[in-house]
Amino acid sequence: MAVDKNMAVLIVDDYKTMLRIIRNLLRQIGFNNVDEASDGATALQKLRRDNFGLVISDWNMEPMTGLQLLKEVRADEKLRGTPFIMVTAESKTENVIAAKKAGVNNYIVKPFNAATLKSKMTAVLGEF
Amino acid sequence: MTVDTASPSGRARAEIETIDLELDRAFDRILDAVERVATAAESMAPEMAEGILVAVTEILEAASVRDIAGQRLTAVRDAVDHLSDTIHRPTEGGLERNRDKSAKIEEKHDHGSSSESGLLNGPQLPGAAKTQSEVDALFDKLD
Repeated sequence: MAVDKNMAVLIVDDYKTMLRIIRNLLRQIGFNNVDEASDGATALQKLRRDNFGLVISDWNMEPMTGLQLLKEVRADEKLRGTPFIMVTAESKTENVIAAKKAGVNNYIVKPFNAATLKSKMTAVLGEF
Repeated sequence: MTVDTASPSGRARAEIETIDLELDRAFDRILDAVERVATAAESMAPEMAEGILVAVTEILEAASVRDIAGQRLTAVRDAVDHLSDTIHRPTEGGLERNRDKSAKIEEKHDHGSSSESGLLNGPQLPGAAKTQSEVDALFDKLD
């Protein structure tokens, strides 16, 4: 099934510059229906209220980390199948293992490029 | 910003805050300009827009260094606070406060912790950080 590029994507990062950069990179690859959250609790609220085809989240946020957000999403019956990509500066082995164990669909280390973002989204969603 | 800039640590903290603020302002302007260029390019003929949009993407990729730089500045700020608390002679009644603050900074850097706080390490130094390829190999191995 072809990927609907009009699907809603939720980006989560406590740093507004990063939200802006990811939003613009998504725009460059054809995804313009993008919503933002600067913390995990707001992200969870938006996920429960609206339908999102993908979550792209930072890890290092307070009070709810991206890992905790991922666990909340996977524990929620309505949300558990939502594709979730972690985009983070956390690059240690234990981080990747913890995220994978929690059910992350893919993992991008910062700093990253548009090609990596596109290839990880393709791996998770399918060709577009 | 009310900071004691008379002491070396106070001055260091003030400089870090200033760097952070000035970088934020500069990157806001960069992103404002990039967005204007991208919008203008979208109304051009594809063959004219292509090269411009490639450059826009490269600027956005380069700008993402701002996030990492901010995290490194936070690490420097924490180090300054830790050093300052370690060498500063505790005043009467300040000992417990200094202990709590140092303990909080130590906990943040406790790499051996099995709790989730042990997973919050921030960006690694060059050479210590895993590349995307290394992360991909590990991620795929975990399937």
